[in-house]
Amino acid sequence: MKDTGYETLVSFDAVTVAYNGSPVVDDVSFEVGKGEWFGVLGPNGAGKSTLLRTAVGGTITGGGISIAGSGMHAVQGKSRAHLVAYVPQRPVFPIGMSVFDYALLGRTPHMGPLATESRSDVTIVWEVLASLGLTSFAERDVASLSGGETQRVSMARVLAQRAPVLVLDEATAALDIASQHEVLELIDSIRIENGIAVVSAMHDLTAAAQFCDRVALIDQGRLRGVGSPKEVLREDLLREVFEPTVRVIDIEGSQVIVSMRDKERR
Amino acid sequence: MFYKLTLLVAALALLAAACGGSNDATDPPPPTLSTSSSTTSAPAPTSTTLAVTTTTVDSGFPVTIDAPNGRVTIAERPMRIVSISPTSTEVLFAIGAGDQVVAVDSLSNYPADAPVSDLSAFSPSVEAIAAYDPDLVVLSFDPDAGLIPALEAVGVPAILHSGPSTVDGAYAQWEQLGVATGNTAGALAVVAATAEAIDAAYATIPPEAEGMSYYWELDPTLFSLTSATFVGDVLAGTRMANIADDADTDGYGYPQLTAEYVIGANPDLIMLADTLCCGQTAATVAERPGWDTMTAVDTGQIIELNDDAASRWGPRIALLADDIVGAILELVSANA
Amino acid sequence: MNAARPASTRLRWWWVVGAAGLLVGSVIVSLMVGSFSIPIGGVLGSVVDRLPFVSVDAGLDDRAEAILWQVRMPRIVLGVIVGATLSAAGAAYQGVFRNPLADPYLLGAGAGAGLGATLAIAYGPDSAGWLIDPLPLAAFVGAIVGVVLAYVLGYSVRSGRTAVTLILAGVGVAAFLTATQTFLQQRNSETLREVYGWILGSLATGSWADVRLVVPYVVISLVVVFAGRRLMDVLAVGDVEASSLGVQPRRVRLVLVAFATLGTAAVVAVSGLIGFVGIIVPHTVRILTGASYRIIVPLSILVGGAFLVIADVIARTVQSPYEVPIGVVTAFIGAPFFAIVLRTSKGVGS
Repeated sequence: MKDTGYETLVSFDAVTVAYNGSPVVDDVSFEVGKGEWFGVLGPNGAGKSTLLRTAVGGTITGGGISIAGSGMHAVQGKSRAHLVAYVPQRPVFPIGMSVFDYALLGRTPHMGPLATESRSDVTIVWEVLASLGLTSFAERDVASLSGGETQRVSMARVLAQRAPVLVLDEATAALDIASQHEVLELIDSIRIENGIAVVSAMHDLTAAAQFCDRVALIDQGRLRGVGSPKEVLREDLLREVFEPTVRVIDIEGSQVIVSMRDKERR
Repeated sequence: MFYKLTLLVAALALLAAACGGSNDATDPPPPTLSTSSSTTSAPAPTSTTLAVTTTTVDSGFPVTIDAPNGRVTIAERPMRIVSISPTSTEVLFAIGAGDQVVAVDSLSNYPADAPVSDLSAFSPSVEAIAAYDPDLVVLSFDPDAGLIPALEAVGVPAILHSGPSTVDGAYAQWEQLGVATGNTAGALAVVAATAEAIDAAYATIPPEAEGMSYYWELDPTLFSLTSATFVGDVLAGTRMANIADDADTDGYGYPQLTAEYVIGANPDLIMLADTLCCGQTAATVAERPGWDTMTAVDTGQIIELNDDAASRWGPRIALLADDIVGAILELVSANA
Repeated sequence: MNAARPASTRLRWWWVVGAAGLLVGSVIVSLMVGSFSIPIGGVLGSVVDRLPFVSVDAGLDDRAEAILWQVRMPRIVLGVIVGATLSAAGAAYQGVFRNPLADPYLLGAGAGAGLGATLAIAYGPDSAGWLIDPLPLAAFVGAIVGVVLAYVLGYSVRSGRTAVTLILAGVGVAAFLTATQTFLQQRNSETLREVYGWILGSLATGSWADVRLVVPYVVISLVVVFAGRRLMDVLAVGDVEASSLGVQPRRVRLVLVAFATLGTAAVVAVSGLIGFVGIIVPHTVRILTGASYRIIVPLSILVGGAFLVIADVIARTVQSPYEVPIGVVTAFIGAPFFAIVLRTSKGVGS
């Protein structure tokens, strides 16, 4: 593994996903270390979601993913769920389901075939809710919560699952600046406390620069660059992949990526 | 020359008159009865709603009758009759019009020598019927009320004789068919013979039988009929009570009963009119849960009727009455 | 640390007791009702007499006993079984398709059974001529064939083996089978009355033989659906997320649909297509107690049995001695009851 000091946990090897012959994800390879935050960046429709879904059982046409050394094609259902937790872009919050039961879903991989909860499962859920300050929410209906609250509830389920890898698809879409920051800080603290590797698709390049240890830039299914944010989020590359108006500014050592309108039009 | 021609014409005219008037003389009269074989009598007074206004009664045609479907005029003695009503088939053959019938529907299974075709009684087709080039069509069922107008449009007279609600109504139908086919005397004879047979049978019922009850089963889902129906009228002479009468709250005549109701009513006689269609017998009835506690089942007072004979309104109702009287007599002697 | 789930998410014991009480009560009321009047004391006495080690002289004659135990009781027991099975199957379908409007006939089980029954009535031999009555067998097979066809059609869609695809396939199959049935009925119009009578559903011909016939299938069906209730909760978050939690949504769906359909086919075979029960009961339980199938499934079984027995009482008494077809009653009491519950609740989405 490269000089990041992290032990390799997840490896995407030449992953390809093609529908009817045309590839949506084309030969993408990268590695994610234990406890590392790895961002998957790129324009809309670049194939980020499809790529991430291959880690949780989505269609994969070529290549493979291995976690902790085991090829994922050999790992089915429950065993994979022990290793990877997943939160999609728009998670389903079923009407009438309590926060407690929603978090308890995270224990499913650890339960028997009929998903019967044990005392330890219940105890773990209470612990997780407490760590996220959600104890008083336990009996609330998940469908009645606000955006920020549901993000925390999603994290509760993830924590209850106790998987070493967390795959997140756009954790902060549709949140305002403050909530966005709050959620990302929460994920970061969870990552650090529990040693979880986070692989997340992000649309916000600036946030990615601040929170990710390493990133991959995907364009039209192909890998355009992988490395630290400083190495990948360069103006020339970004202008190629996104659009010519992209500017990268340095603030206190961190990159801020903005899109500036032509001076004449401002 | 001219004189010989006149003689020839006169002879021919006499011959024609003699032949025309001998119709009823050639009809075989019913063997056992001396009937009013007068060929000039008006229809017997048992006719109810079917009036017959005729220009001539039996000696010739054309004839106009007031059928239930309206006035029907029959120009000549029909020789190509198509019957798509099993009952009418039976009647036609009984009154002596058998050799005038060219085709009957697929369900007309009596008498055995009736010319059965694949015409359907339930969904009749004008074209299929017209293919037989009929000069009279008798039916009991016109599902969309379209068949009769269609037949009239192609000039074929049609008579609609659907199920009557009384025995007299049935007699009137038979007589009307007699007039329509030129077999009036035969028809009157059959009516009289049937009525007499039924009366004679009922006359043998002893007074102890009065007040007994019966249950008439139309199908295994316990559809029954009340005394206000045709069959009920046929059985009226037995003076038995029909257990379905109390269940027929809307007076429809054909209520569906429940097992509980029948068992509770405990009829003295059970009559099965679903032996052919649905395989019901005294044995299958006895196997029904709870039915073995009924006295009729216990003592075997279950009559298995022939579905057809029990659901038609032809001359075989005399046989029906006979069967039932037989069962009543058995019951009375068993109870004695 | 707390080892018990929050109180409001538990299956409260008094709900179970209440539902069971409702069931027992409706059975007792149903025993007392009928066109043949049996004194209440006689009914209770006869029931008590059947208990082991107890002997009571109920004072009923043979006929009354026969009516009570050969006519009424099997019909009531059948009502409980049919109601419970249809409700459990309805809950299973609702859970597996994440749709509170799903019912056991969704994938064509009802249409298939109707077609099978029509074929048996129109072309089958007399029931007395065979060792086994062809009508229930044809209906049972028809129901299963309907669902199998829906699955075959749904799975033939390459890119979408989703719940929605399956539902659409079921709708298509049901439409086709119903059209075939209608065509056959028109060609054999003398069978119309019998077929419609069967379709409207009836417990009137229920006998102990029918009960014995369905019990094995019903027991298997109820056991599997009951066991799978927690998996239905997992499926609630959608196929993709459920899959990420280690559950195989298509396999769970297939198993639950298969066993729910097995039970549905069996009860439909002996009692016809009684509608509304499979939608109304689980959905009403959901509105009253919450959305978890841990709670909905067991309560639906009890309440479903009670509901159908009550509907049967109404069917038998409202126009005595004529019996209203039970499918009509379930619709008539189900719809307004549901409307009332819906209006007084917090409201439910899909």
